[in-house]
Amino acid sequence: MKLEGEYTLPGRPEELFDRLQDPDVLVAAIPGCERFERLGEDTYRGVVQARLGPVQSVYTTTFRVHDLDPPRSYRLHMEGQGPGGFVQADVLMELIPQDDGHTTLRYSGEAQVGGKIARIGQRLVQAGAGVIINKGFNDLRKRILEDLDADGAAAA
Amino acid sequence: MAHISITVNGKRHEADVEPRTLLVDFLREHLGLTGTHVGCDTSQCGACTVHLDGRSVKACTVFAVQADGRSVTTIEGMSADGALHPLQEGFREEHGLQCGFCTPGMIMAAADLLQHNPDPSEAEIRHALEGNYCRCTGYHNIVRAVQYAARKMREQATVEA
Amino acid sequence: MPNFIGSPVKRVEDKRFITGKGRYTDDIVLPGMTYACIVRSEHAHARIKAIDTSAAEAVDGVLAVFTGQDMVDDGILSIPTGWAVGDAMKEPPHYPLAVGKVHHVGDGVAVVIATDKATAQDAAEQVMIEYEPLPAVVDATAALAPDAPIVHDGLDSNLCFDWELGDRDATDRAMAAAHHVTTYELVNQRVVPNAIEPRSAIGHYDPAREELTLYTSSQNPHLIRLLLCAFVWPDLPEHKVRVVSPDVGGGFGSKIFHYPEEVICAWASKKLERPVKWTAARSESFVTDAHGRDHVSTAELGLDAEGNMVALRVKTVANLGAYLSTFAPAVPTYLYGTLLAGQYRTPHIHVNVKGVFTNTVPVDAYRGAGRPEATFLVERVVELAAKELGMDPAELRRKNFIRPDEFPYDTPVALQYDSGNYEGALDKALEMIGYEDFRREQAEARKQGRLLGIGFSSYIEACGIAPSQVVGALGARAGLYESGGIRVHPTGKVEVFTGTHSHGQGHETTFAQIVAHELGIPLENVEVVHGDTSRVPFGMGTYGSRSLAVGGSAIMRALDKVKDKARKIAAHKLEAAEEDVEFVDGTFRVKGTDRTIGFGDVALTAYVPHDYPEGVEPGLDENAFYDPKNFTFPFGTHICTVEVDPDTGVVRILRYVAVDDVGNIINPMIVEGQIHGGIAQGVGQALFEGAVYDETGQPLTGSYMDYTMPRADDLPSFEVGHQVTPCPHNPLGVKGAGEAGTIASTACVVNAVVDALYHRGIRDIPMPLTPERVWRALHAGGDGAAAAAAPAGGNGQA
Repeated sequence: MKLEGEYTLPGRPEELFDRLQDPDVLVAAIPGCERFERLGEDTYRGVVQARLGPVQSVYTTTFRVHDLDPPRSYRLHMEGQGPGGFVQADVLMELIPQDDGHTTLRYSGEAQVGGKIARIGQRLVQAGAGVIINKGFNDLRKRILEDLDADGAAAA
Repeated sequence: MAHISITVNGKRHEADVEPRTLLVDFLREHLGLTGTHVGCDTSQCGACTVHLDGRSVKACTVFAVQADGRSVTTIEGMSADGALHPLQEGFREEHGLQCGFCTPGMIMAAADLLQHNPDPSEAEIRHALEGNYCRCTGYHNIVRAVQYAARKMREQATVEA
Repeated sequence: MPNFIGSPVKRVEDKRFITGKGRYTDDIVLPGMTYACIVRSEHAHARIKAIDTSAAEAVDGVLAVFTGQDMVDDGILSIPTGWAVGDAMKEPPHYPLAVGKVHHVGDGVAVVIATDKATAQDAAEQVMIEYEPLPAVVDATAALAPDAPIVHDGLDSNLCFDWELGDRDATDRAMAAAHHVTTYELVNQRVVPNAIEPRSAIGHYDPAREELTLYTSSQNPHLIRLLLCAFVWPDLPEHKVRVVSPDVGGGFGSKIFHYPEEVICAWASKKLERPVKWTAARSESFVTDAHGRDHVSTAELGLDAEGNMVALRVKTVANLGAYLSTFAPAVPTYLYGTLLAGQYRTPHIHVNVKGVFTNTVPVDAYRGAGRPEATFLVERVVELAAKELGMDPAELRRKNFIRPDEFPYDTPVALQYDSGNYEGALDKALEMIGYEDFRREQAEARKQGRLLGIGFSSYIEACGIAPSQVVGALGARAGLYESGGIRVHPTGKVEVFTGTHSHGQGHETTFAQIVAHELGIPLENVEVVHGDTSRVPFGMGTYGSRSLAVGGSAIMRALDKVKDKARKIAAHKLEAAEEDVEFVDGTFRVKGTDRTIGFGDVALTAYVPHDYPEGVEPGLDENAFYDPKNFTFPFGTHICTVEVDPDTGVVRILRYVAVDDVGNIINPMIVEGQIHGGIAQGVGQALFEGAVYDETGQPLTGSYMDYTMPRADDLPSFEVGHQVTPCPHNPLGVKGAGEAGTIASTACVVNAVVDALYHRGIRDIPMPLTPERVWRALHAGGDGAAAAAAPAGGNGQA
C-alpha cells in the first residue's frame, strides 16, 4: 500500500525538525497510542490501539527515525505487531518551507499490512489509514501550536 | 456473566452467558440446537438465520444478551408439532437442497418472506433470499420450493377462511 | 413394484436436513471435549525465529500449546501428495504445523487447546512468534523468473514439474502449415471453492482401547485414514483408527484432501487423551482450504481454409501454491492436458504444463478439476477462431465434431472416447434456445444500442475416476476402484455399503433406488451406509463424478453376487434347477410355473438354514470391488444469452440452456439439481469470483465481504435438457453428472459476453467479468480489447 500526502504545519522547518523527533510530540501524532517509551537513541516503542472497519486491535509498535537530514528530511520506520496482524511502514518525511512561514510536511512511502486486517479489512485499509493519518496530523498541528505558543509566551 | 431469559421454540430458557456470546453460539452450544449453522464470520452467508420476535435475523449478528426477554424460532421449531412446515415440505418436494447446510437458514428467510408476501414472484423470491448463500443448488430449485410452499400456504389459508 | 430407475424419487436424506437434524462435524459434542485454535502465519514467507508459548500456556483453561517441532519430535511426518508427475517432480515437505519456515499466509504455526472455544481463541493471541520476513512470490509466471524468491529451502527454483503431452513436432509442423492460426492468451483465475460448511475435525483417542476416531468433514474418509496411517503418522496402526465423515456441507473438491488440521486434532487428542475439536472460521477457510484453477496459458489453434481444425498448441503455467496438496499434481496435467481435444477431431495437439510453487494457499481440485480449465481454453479459442474466420460458431463446432460413427475414438492426447453424439446435443440446445430467432433479436437490439450476446460451450469431460492401472501408470499412488457391499438382513431389509461419500449428491436415495429396483423391494427397506471406515470395508470417496459410475457399479457387482446366492437358495426351496429359476420383481419363480418364493423368505432362509442347499454358506452379505475399464465421457452443449448494460458494464444472463449427456439417469431430479449447481459455480467464476493477493502475498479476498459468489438474484432459472448415450462399459450405463455444469458454463458465459461486444473491438475480457472490467473494456476506445485483456496474473493480482 502506498502512503502519500502532505500537510501544512505552523512554523519553519528549522523550528519543526527537532520537535518532530521529540517523543512527547510524536506520541501526540499517533492516534490511539497509549504507552510510549524511548528504547534507544532513535528508537521508540508504543502500544497503539487501532481500529479499521470491523477489526480492532492492539499493536505493539516500534518506531525508528533514521537518515536524518535536518531540517530537510528524515525517514520514519514503523513496525507494529498484534493479534490483528502486522503493519510495517517506511516513510520519507520531507519538510518544505512555505513563503508564509509555514512548512509543508510531505510524506511518501510504502506500508505493508498482514493478518486479519489485510484479510477482512483490506478494502477499508487505505481509507482507514487516511483517516488515522489525518487525525494524527491534526493532533500534531494542535500540539505544535501549543508548543509554539508556549515558546512565544516564554520568550515574551 | 449476564443472566438471560429467552423463549426458544416456545420453551423458556434461563442461562448465564458471557456478554460476547453470540445468539448462534448460545443456540448451538448452550441449547444444543445445532440446526442453526455457522457458515461465515461476516454475516454474509445467512446459514444462521432464525426468527427473533417473528422477524428473520442472522443469529451471528445478535448477541445472546440482546435476545433477553425475547422469542426465538429456529428450524427445529418449524415442525414442532410433528407436521412439516409447507416450506420444509417444499424444499423436499422440489429438491431445494443438496448438502443441507444452508437449508435451515434458507427456510427461515423464506418463511419471513411468505409472512409478508404470500404470493411472491420469482424475482421477489430471489431478492428476498439474496442474503443467503447456497453453493449447491444454483438456487433454481430453492425458488421452486418457495413457490411450492407459497401455493400450499395460500390453499391452506383459503380452506381455513 | 414401481420402477425406481429413471424416477424422480424424493430424497430420503432430506428429512433430517429440513428439520435441522443433520449432523455435521461441528454439531458433534463428545464428553470432555476440548477446542483447538490454530495460530497461523500472517506472513506469506518468513523464517520462524522464535515461538514463545508461555503466555498462552498460562491462560486459565488452556491445556496445551504445541508447535510444529513438537509434532515432528513425536514422529509426525510430512503430508504427502497422492500423485507424482514424472520422476523429477519436486515434493517439498508439508508438515501439519510449519517447521522452520512459513510458506503462505494461513500456514499453521502452533495450536492452542483449551477447555472451550473462546479461551482457545483468546490464548492463541498470546502465542508470540518472532518472524524474519522473506520476499514472497505470488504469481506463477513471476515465480519462474531467475531472480524470483525461492519458496522452498533446498530447491533451486520454484518449478515443481515440467510436463508435456502430445506430439510436439507433428503439432508444430501442422501449425506452420495452417491457413489461419488463432492465438489466445488467457488467465484462468484462482477461485475459492467455498463449501458453505467450514471444514471441521475432531480427534477422539480412547486410551483404554488405544483406538483413535477422527471425525472430519471429508469427501473420502478411507483415503484420509490411509494417508494418515501409511504416511503421516506411521506409528498409528490403521486397524486402530476409525475415520468418520458424517453429514458434510458441500465439498466441490475442497474436502477431498488430507489437511493438517486432521493430523493436528488426531495427534493432540492422543497427547491429551481427550477429544479435540477444530472448526474453521470462514476467514480461516479462505487461507487454508485448497483453492482452484489459477492457470496462465497461451493457446494456438490452427485451421485450414475450410475451417477444419488442424493443430492445437497449448502452454500453461499452473500455480500449485505453497505445498503439493493431495491431488494437486494430477489436476493441471492428467485431468487437463488429456481433455484438450474437446469434442473435436483436431489431429495434432501438444501441451506443455509447468507446475510452480508460490507463497499462496495450495491449489488443488475444484469442481471439474482440470477439465473446466481445458474446456474454457478450447471453447474460448474455438469461439475466437469462428469470429476471426467469420464463421458461425455453432457451424465451426459442428464441422469439427467427432462423428457418432467414429467411436471409440483415440485422441492425440492419450484418451479413448468410448461413445458420443456431439451434434445431437448441439442441435437440441440450438432448438431449445431458438438460435435463429435470437440472432434476429440481437441484430434488432443492436440497432437500438442494446448489447445482446449468445455463447456456446460444447464440452467433454473424463469422469468415473478411474481405471487403477491407467492412473497407476500416470503416477497415482493409490488405486481408484470402489467397493460396494450388500447386507441382506434376515427380515429382508438391506444395508448398502459404499466407499463413496455423499455431501449433497443424494447417494442415500440414488443407490437405494438401484438396490430396491434390482431386488424388487420397497425403497424404505434399503439403507445406504457411507462415510465410516468402521462400517464400509474400503473406499476411495467421492470426486471426479465417480460415485455412480464406479461406486454404483461396485454395488451392481455385489448385487449380482447376492442374487446368484439367493437364486441357489430359492432353487433349493423350490426344488428346481438353478437355471430354471428366474428373479422378477422381488420374487423367485420356477419358469413357466406359479411356484414362487419371495426375496424376504429367501433372506430368512439364508440366516435360518434348516432346509438349505448343500455347499452354500449361510448368510446373505456380499462385497465387491469394481475397477472401471475406462473413464466415462459425459458431454453436452450449453448455450446462454446475455445482455450487457453499456452504461454500467453489468452482465445479465437472459437464458441458460444446458443439454447434457450423462448416460443413463437413475434419478432425473437429482441429476438436474447437480447440473443447476454446477452451472452456478461456473457462472460464478465467469462473472464474480476471484481470489486476489497483493504482491507481498497478503490475500485481499479473505472473507465473504470481499469474495463474491452468485446469489439468488444474480442467476436466472436454468433450462435443462437431456440426451442419453449410455456408457458402454459399466453395468449401469452411467457417466456421472456432478461436474458437467461447472465444466461447461464458464466458457459459455464469457463467450456470450464477448459475442455481445465483439463488434466493439473486444475479443476478450479477463475473468471475472465484473461490471468494472466490462465497462472499462467498452470505454477503452478503439483498442478496447487490448486494454481490457491485459492478463493480470493467475491470481488476479491487484
